[in-house]
Amino acid sequence: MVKFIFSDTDRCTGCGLCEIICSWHKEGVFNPLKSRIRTVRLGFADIAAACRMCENPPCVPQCPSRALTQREDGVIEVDEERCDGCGWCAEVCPYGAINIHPKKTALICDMCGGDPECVKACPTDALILVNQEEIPKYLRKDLMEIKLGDI
Amino acid sequence: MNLSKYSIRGTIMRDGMTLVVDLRSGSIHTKKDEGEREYIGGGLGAYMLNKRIKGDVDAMGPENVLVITSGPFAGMPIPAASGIGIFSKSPLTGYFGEDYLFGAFGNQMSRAGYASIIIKGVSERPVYLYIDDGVCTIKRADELLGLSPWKTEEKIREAMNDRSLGVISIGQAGENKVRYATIYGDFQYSGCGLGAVMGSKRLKAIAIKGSNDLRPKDPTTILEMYKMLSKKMEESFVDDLDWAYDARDKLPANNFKGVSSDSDVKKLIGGLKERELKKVSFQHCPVACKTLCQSDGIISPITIGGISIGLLNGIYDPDTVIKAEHLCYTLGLDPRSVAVVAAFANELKEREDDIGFDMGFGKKEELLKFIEVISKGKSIFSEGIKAAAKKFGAEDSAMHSKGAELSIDTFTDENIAFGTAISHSGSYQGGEDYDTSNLLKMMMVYPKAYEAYSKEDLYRLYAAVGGETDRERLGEMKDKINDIKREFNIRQGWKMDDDTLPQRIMKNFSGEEAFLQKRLDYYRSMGWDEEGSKGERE
Repeated sequence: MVKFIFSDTDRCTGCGLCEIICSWHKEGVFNPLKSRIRTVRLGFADIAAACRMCENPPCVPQCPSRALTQREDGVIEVDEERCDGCGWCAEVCPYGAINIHPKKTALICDMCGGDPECVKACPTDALILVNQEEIPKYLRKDLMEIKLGDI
Repeated sequence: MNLSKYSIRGTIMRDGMTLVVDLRSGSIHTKKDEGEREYIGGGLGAYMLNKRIKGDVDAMGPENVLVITSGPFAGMPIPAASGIGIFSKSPLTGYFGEDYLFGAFGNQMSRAGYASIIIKGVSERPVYLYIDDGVCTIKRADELLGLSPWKTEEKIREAMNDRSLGVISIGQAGENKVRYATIYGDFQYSGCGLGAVMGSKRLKAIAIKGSNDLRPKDPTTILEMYKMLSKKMEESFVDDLDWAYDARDKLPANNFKGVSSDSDVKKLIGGLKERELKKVSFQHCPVACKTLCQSDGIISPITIGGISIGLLNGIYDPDTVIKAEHLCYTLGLDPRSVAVVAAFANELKEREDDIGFDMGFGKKEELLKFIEVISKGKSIFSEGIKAAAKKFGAEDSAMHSKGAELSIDTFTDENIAFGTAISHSGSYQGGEDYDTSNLLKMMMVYPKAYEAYSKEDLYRLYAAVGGETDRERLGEMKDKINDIKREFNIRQGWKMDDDTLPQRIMKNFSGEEAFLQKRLDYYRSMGWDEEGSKGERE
């Protein structure tokens, strides 16, 4: 099964460095809006989400501009000439792993050619390479459901 | 890495714009002020506040302003430096009020391009500010009233459909103008009663989003230093629970009257550690700096504030401490102040004063009830320890500096105690060297990263982000900021006797005489006269 980048909820502290590092390596700037990985805090769970390279990715057929293709290694490539940033891919992604660049192209993790920069930079070693079946081991759903209080 | 493919063009420091919001008239504009451009981060805040508050204004009246500045490193991958400073005349001390919060707000503010935000006037209706890059909107906050800061954050993020927003907000205590109400953001709380200033302006929250790229002058140095500093921070960082455990033979008890026993502290801290749920950090902080603890379905970050509530009030039961700190967060109270105010009330009760509360050291439910009642803003205890001590004629039992309730580390660490005594705000967070701590503050680096950063690191990073001021002038600026804050306080009625500590702290260290000598030496080192004022320095 294909491996992708995911975060171990027990280790991820939500520092967001992965986003900054990604935007630097891919776009040459520090700006999390241009990152191919995104962090989010759900309840008490900090999660970093990048493309999971699904077996039948819903984003590919949904793209009205036919800008997305899936390579054999699972990576979804964005044809920047065709992509107009409409955001349908981001809409249909079940994992919230696609973002739209402010200049209107889809941002999808390409694994940096197999040696992802964010994984190397993660200060708490929370970013790991896993396959779809291994996700439950690292995702603390109980933390996601906790609330800080009613008022 | 091959940098040549990127177009790195010179310095892209933030534009240095000031966003000015007048809540009374609803006017919003941006401006640039040349005088302000020489100052950065913490210095800018001090300069701006000093310029705007001249006379003796009511800290909770329309003339007081709230100044927010972002640090020069915010938004950059620089460890624990995503800071904002919040400055205002403190309703708690009547003097210079300042505190620093780290995380998403600073990063977003930096990308939005603002060096500072000034909030003036009082709004007729409860509102919050929503800043989206160059567009600032004043929005109705009627539906947010009464909510806890974290619920307020959640509601605003939901309403704007953006989970990444930087939000700072107040709780009920701020709305009720409790003088030690806090501004909350990313599991941190501010001191100096800044939440009461926001509350007095009927400003429930500020949410900000910035989308601009940050292009520092020398990103390679920044990324290299990130690794080095992160490693140093991991090695040297001590969280509040570990700090308390390590200091267990000298922590205060019962309103600083004595020392907590080793076994009691072990029971409390050990119990809290057993209840640890998870550690979290704020954005761009490489170490997990806050511990979340869990008890009976209640989850709260546990900090020195919660630990103080326990120690100073004779409560070594971890479950009550978790509930108490959770209550402070929910209501928007500074737990460090709550700890001291409650301990003071307990001491009054012990000597049979009629305080209108059923209290007593070690009484758990009564303490939780007390916290709820004082958050309503109607009790004398909501006015801060100094006002309460005056009312009850119990100044000797009131543990504060300039009206700000003392943190328990003033009891264990002579440097912190002295730093608190000579501080402008009545509190000190930093390390042994005041000069380095002041530089960290000016650059808005998390005070707990003190051990990781050297002055040299700060100067190098400042040059790498594109700062044009050389180190000599940065050093001068740091000293000038100290002068500015002192000048502000003198105008507000500060006297040398305000730079002191309660006897219970003083006798813990070298005594009053040694303290006075140390204070005199410090004044001289700052170029001040024997009475601690600037004298001819200007």
